[in-house]
Amino acid sequence: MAIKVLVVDDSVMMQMLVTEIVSSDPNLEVVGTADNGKDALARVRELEPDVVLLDIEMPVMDGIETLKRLKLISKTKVVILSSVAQAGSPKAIEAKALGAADVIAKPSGAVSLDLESKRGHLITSTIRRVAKG
Amino acid sequence: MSMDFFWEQFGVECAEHLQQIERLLTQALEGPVGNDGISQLFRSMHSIKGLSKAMGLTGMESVAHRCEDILGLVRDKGVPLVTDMVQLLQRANDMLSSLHEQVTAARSDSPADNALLLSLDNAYQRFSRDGGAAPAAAAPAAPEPVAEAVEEEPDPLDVLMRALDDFGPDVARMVERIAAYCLDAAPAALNRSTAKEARSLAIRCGDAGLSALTDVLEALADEVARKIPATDDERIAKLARIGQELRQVEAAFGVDLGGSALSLRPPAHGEAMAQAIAAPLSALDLNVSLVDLSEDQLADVIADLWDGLRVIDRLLVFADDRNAQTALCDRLSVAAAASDVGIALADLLVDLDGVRDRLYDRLVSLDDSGDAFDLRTELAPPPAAEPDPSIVVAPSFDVAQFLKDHGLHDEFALCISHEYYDQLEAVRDGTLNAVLITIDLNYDAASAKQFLGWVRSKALSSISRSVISGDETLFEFLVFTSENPGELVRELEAVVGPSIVVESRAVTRLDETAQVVEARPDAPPVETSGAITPTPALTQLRVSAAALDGFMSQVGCLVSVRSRLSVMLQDDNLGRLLDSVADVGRRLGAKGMREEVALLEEVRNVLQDNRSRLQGIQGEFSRHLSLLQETALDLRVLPLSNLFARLPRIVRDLGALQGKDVRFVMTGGETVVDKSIIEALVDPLIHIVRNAVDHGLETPADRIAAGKSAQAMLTLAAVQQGGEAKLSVIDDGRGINVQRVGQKAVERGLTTAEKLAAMSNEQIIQFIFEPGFSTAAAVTETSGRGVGMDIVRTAVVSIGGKVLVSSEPGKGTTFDITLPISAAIQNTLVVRIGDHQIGIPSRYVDEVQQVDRSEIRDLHDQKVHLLRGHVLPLHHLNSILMGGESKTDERVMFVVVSAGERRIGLIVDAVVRREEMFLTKPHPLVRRSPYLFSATVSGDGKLILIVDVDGLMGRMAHAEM
Repeated sequence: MAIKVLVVDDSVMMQMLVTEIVSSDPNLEVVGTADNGKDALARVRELEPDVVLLDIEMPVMDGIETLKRLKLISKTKVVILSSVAQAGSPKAIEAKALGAADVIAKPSGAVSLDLESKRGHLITSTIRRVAKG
Repeated sequence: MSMDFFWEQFGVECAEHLQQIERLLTQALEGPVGNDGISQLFRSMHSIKGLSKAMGLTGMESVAHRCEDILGLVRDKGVPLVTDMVQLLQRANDMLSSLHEQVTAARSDSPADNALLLSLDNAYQRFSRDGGAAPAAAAPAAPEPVAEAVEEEPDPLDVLMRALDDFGPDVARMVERIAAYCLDAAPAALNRSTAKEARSLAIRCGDAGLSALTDVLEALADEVARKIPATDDERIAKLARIGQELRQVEAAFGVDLGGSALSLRPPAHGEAMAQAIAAPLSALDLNVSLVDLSEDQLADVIADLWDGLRVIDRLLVFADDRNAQTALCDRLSVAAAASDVGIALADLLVDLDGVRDRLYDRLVSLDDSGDAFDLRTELAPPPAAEPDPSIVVAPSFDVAQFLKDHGLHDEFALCISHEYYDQLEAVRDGTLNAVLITIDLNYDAASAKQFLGWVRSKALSSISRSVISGDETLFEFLVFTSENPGELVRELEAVVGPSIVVESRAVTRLDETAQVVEARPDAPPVETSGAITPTPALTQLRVSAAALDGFMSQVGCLVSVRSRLSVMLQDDNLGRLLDSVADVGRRLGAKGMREEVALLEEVRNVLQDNRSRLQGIQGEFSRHLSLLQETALDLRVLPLSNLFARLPRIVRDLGALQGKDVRFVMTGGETVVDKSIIEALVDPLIHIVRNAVDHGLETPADRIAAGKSAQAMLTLAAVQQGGEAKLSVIDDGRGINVQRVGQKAVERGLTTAEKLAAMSNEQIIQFIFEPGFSTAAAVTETSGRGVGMDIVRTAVVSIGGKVLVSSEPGKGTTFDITLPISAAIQNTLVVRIGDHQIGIPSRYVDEVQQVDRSEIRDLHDQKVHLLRGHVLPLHHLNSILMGGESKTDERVMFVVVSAGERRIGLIVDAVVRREEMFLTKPHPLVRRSPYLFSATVSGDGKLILIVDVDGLMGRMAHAEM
C-alpha cells in the first residue's frame, strides 16, 4: 500500500511542487495539503497520513509549534521541509529534539526538474526511509 | 502539471508578498510596526526567497536571502528597524519587484544588481555588529564587558544548563521546604523569612534566564504568605498545578527540582476531565451569525463567552504553559477594551478556536498517558473572598480609557495584562502612585543596569514598552510605587544621571486645563502618539464574495419589503375601515341595537390596537433595517487609506529623482468605498499622482523664478458626499497648457479648428483623456510607461465614476474623481413611460430638459435638439425598450445622459423621483436585453427596470453607423 503523505506549506506553489515530486514515486501518495500548522492538525486527524512534510515559517501556527502538538495527537512521522532548517542549524536541532524524523531542504531549481531527477529526489527517498523505520 | 502553472503561481504569490513588504516598510517609516509587523515582513521575504529558489531564480533569491538575514536580526536579535535599514530594504524590494516583472515575463533567471547585493551585505555586517547596543558615540568610550559577551553569542542552551546546575539544588530544596509546610497536615516549623528567600531566589533565577522557575518560585512564595489551613482544597489544587509546571521544566532539562513533592492528588481518569470540559466547549461551538443579533444580544453573547473563558482559562493551567495562558488573557483584555463590539466578538472567536484546539490536543495526550488531574476542584467557581490574581480575568476594567485619561500611549494596552488591573485601578483612585519614565537604555550599559536595579528596588511592579524616536529605540517604563512620585523623579536623576533620562513624570489624570507633560527641553522629542495606531485586536474574518453578495441581496430584498410595508400603512385602509365601523356603530346605536354596537365597538378597539401596534412594529423594523443596511454596506467597504498608503513614497522617490521639493498632504483617508472600487482605483490614482509630480510640479528654481515658494504642494483630498466619494488631486504647479492641448487635439483629428474655437478652456482640457493623447515633449521615466490619461478615465468610468480636470496656467491643476461608494446601492432617477417606471442610474444623468415640440428637428431620420449650441440626438426610451412610440405632447421631456464622450437625450413621459435603490443581480430574462442592467422593486411594490446606459449608448452608436 502506498505511503500516505500530507504536505504542509503556506505557499500553494510550494505545495504543488512538492506534491508533484512526491507523487512521481509510485510508492507514495499525497493525501492532502494544508496551508498552516493549525490547518495541518485538523487534516492529520482527518486523513491519518503516515508522513507529514512540514514547513517551518508559516503564518497562524508555525512548524515548530505544530510539531509539538502533532506529537501529542498522532503517531505520524514528521519530516521538516524548510529552507530555514539547514542541517545543524538551531531550528533543525530543536525540531529533532521535538521528535521530527528528519530535516531536509526545500526543493530548488524546479526549472531543470525532469522526471528522473524527481524520482531520485531527496524528498522521496527520505519519506520512504522514514515511513519504514 | 505543466511548468506554466508554477510560473503563474510563482508570479501571483510573489506579487502578494512584494506588496505586503512594500506596505509594511512604508508603515515602518511612519511609526513602529510592532512584532507582528516584523514577523510578517520576515515571513514574506522568506517566502520570496523560497519561491525563487524553487524556480531556480538565483537573482531574486540572492536579494531576498540577504534581506531575510537582515530582517532576521530585527526579529530574533532585537536589532531596531531603523530608517536607513528600512530605506535599504525598500530599494531591495524595488529591485525584487522589477526582477519579478522580468523573470515572469521572460520565464528565465535574471541577475540582481551587484551594487545592491554589496550594500545589503555591508548593511548586514553593520547591523549585526552594532546590534541594538550602544550608539556609535558611546561605544569607543566604554568598552563594556557586556558588549563582548553579546558578540561571542554562546549557545543559549549551554547558558541555561549552567544556570540550572547553579540554581537547581537550591530550587529543589526550597520547593521541598515549602511543600512540606503547605501540604503537611502537621506543618513543619517555617522560618519567617522563607517567602522572602523564595522571592530572592526567584529574582536570581530570572536574572539567569530561568524565567520558568521564577514564576514557580513566586507562586510558591505567594502561597506561603497566605495564612490558610493546610488542608485547603484550593491550595492543594494550586500547588499541584505549580508542581505540574515544575515537572515540565524537569522533563525538558532532565533535572530534579523537587516538583513531585508538590503533588498530593492521585491522578483521576482522563474521561472525567473530558466530561468536565465538555460543557464549556459546547458553549463555544456557537455558530454566531453577527447579523442576526441586536447589539444587546451581542453583548450577552460576549458576556457568556467570557464566563466560558474563565473556566477554560483555569483549565489551561493544566493544558498549557503559563506563558500561553498569560498571552491569551492579554489578548482577551485587549479585545474587550476594543470599543467595537463586533471586533471584540470576532477576536474572541478566533482566540477561542485556538484555545479549543490546544485543549483538545492536550486532552488527547493526557488521555493517552493517563496522567490527568481531578478537574472538579478546578471547575468550581473561584472563591469570592480571595480570587487568585493569576486566573481570574477582570474584563471590567477599561484599560483603553485609563490610558487615554492619563495621557499614556494606547500601545501600553498590549503590555498590560489583567494582573495589573488592580494597580491601574488603585492609580485611578489615587491610592497608588505611578511614574512614567522614558529612558534611553542603549546609551550606556552601566547606567542602564543602574536604572533597572533602581526600578526594581522602588517599584511594586512596572510595565515597559519600546518607543522608536528617530533612529533611537527608547523605553517607556510605567512604574507603580507607593512612594511620592515627585521625589522619585528627582531621585531618579540623582541615581542614574540625567543623560539617559529623556522624560519622567508622575502619571496623573489629565484634565482640560492642566498639561502635565514636563519634557526636558533639550531632550529629543518623543513620539507619544504615533501616526500609525497599532493594530491590536482587529482580526479580519475572511468571507467569500459570494456569501457576501447573497447577504447583500437579502438585505436588498428587506429594503423592498420595508418600502411596501410603509406604502401599505400610508394607504391606511384600516383607518378608513375604522371610520366606517364607527359610522355604522352610530347608526345602529340610533336604532337601539346595543349588543351589536358593543360588538362593533370591540371590533373597532381590536382593529385600532392592531393598527397602532403594526405602526410601532413598522417603525422598529425600519430602524433596525437602517442599521442593518449600514452594516451591510460596511462589510464591503474599506477606508481609502488602504489606497493612500503607497502614495507618499511614490511622490518622495519621484520628487527626489527629479530634484523637486514636494510637500504631499493627504486628507480624508477615512472615507470608505467599496472594496472592488479601491482595487480598480489603484492604478489610475498612482498615474495621476505621478503625472502631477512629473509634469505638473516645477523644480525649486523654476518655482522661485515664477514667484512661488520653492516647495511645491501636492494635495490628495477625499470627502464623502452623500452616496459618493470625491477624490481630488490638487497640485500648485505650472498648470496645463490649454493652447497646446487644443493644437494637439486638432492634429490628432479629435476635433476641428472651428469646433475648438467654440469650446471653453475647460472643455478643451478634457481632451487629455482621449486615447493616445500626450503633450509631453519628452518621454520621461514616468510618462513613458504607456498608461495614458485615457486609461485613467476608462478605469474610473468602469467602476461607475467620473473624472474631470481643471487647470489654471501657472497656478496648478486639479483632478476630481467622483465615485459611487457602493457598487450595489445606487442613486437612481425614476422616470415614467406609459404605465412603466424605469430607473436611470443618476451617475449617468447630466440634466433633465423640457422643450416645445417645435424645438425638435429631424436630421437624417434622427430626432435632434440643439442644446446650448450642441446637437443632441434624441431617442424615445419607450421605443428603445418596448418598441412602441411614446405619445407626443406639446412639451417634450428628455433626460440627458452621458457615458464616456457620448451624450444623448432620452425622451420620457415624466420624471417621478430620485431614489436610493438596491440593484440586485438582474434576472436572466432581463439580462438578455442589451439595454437593461437590472430590476428592482420600488416602495409601492412595482417592478422598476434599470436602464444599462453604457449598453444602450453602444447600441445607439451601432445603429447610427
